[in-house]
Amino acid sequence: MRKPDPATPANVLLVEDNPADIRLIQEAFREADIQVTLHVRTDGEKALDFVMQTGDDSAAPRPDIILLDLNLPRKDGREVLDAIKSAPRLCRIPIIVLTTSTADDDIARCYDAHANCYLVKPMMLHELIELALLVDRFWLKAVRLAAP
Amino acid sequence: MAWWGIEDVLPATAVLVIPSDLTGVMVLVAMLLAGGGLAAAIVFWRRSRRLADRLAQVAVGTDQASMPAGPQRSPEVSSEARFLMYAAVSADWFWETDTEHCYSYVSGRIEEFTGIPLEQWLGRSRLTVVCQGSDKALAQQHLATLERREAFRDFGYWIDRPTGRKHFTLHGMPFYSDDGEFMGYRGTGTDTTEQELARLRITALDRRFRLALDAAPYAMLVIDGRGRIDLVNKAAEDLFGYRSEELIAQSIDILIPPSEAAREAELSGLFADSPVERSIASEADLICRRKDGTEFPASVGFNPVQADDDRLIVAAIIDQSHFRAAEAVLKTAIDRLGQGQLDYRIGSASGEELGAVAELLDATAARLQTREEELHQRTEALTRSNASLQRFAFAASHDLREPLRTVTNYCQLIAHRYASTIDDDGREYIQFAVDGVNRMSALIDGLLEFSRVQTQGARFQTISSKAALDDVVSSYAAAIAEAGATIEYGALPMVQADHEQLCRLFSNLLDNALTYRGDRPPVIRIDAERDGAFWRFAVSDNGIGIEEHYLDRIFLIFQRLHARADRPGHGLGLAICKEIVMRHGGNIWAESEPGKGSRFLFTVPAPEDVESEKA
Repeated sequence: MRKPDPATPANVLLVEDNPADIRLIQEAFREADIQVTLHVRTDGEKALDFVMQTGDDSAAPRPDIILLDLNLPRKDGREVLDAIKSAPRLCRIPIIVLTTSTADDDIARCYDAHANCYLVKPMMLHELIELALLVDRFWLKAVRLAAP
Repeated sequence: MAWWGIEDVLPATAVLVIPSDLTGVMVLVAMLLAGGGLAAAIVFWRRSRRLADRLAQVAVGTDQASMPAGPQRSPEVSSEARFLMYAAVSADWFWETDTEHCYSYVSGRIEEFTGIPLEQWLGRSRLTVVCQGSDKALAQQHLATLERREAFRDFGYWIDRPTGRKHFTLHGMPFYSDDGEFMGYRGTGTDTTEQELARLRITALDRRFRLALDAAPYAMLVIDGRGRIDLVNKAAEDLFGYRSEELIAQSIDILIPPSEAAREAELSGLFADSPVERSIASEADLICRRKDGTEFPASVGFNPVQADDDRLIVAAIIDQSHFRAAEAVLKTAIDRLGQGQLDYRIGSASGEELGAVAELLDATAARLQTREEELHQRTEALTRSNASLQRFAFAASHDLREPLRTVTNYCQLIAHRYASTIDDDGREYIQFAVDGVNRMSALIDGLLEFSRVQTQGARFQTISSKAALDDVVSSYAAAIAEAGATIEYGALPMVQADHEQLCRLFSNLLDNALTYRGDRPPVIRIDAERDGAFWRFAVSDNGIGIEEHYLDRIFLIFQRLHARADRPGHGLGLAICKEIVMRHGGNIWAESEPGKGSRFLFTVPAPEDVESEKA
């Protein structure tokens, strides 16, 4: 069991290839005044290296939550989701799908692959800031997660 | 004429006899002598009335004076006299020829038949006349008979007379002298002109009748009143495999087995007192049997004919086995084609009619198949292009949204982060950029929705149109209240539709009516009327209306009639409406009176089976 520790910022893995979105999410956390350690990986393979502590990321910390875009170069978000959720050691890490797709197929498929929640990237900045606050309050503070 | 012995018979009256009437006189006298009576003599005396009268007077005198009365005297009459009498009474004539076949005697009646005086006959060769007037072969045969000195009967020949052709028939036999020497022929002759002409007529008629019968395409039989075959045509011979001779006088049973109950009923009707005609059926109704024992279905027609004293039945028989087989072949073909097996062909088929029909059917099938292949290819191509269009629209709207979101977010971030350093102009520019992005986003939403109408629609179900409208009106509650609008509708029918799309249809039309409202508080009325297999809905408003020449354009994609600033909207609402209605097989159109209002009408299918009741 892991208790949220306000003193130590949470490790958040953001898997996103669009620099504008990466920056925007960073800004949203900043605007919301949320202290997190944001690790960014820009494709599916790098994301899996980070989570599995392989390749260049052998010393990577275990992320507290993962923000996952679906459309990624090389291995896309769906494959990353499948790989993590089918690995016994990793499947307890909450994965928040954060994408532009509103397609019913994508939503259903993600939940079928045990995504913990599915969020659509909002059009408005203030909505994104609200989303960052929600993630922080719910996934990083309210929720009690299982030990690794 | 010495052999007649006329002098012995009538010496006293011989002087009165003129040569041409010699026979007549002799006959009369003979009759008198034989006691035959005066009346009979007069009756047979036709050509020389005057002479006859005179002779009659003589005879009367003789009768009274010297002739004993009564027929009992006949045995004593000489055979010669008797002969003369027969010759006069007979309808025939008698002749005699010599060893050279020249006439040595003819009885008087020949003159009547030929118009040739008696004396001209004597000495003439019988053979010249006879051989000219007879068939060559018959004449040859006749000559041979004569050569063998044989008797002959029924030798007929034609003779041309100014009054017309005559046909004579001769019988004759040779006669000999006491010491056995051939003396010539003696015989009788008959005028058979009428009979011969009748015979020829009948023969010709019979020939024609048979030709006609043989030319008939169907087997035909003539059956007599006892059910025996009288006549058979060529087609019947072919059909049943019998020769005509084998069938004549046989019972009809050998062709149509009596086990056929239908036949029994029919035939008994035909032989009844008032026979009923049995017309030929279009379908096989009796079983017929060939010589080889095989049986076949046939249509048989019986027609009773009253011929003189006999009742005849003319039967026409049509072999239906080809038709049966043809029927089966065609039925199979049509069934297969009907099931969509367009590559099915009958191929070669026997029978002329069937062959032609089969060819026609095969050709039609080939055309259908080609058409269907073309159609299939076109449909596939269309489906492919449609699918790629859908994918394109979907992907485009997604991928377009991302950069838009980026633009919006960063504009807002600038406005937020640098609020204190940006002036009013800067804030206005940023607002324009954000507005543009928002409109673009709305357009993408519209396009996405438009592209999904045909592909992402749900199955049609029997749904309540009123329930759909209720949903829409409640979701528009705020907008309706804000516009001060009144929405009026009563009972609305059940329809066969996609609920989501019907909602979208109502909502776009309602949205339209609220958007293009006039100065008055909007009044929007929705009603429905039955229109064949469809319900026709009308959404009427009291808004600004549409000018007539724009009525068609409003349903086209991206068509706007109003400046953006005046009326919001992405220009896709009515195009989506049209797409939805078309997916339902219906139609949509608008009527309007500018300044007074518009009326949008559309049709959607009524539920198929149950008579829909207004919900």
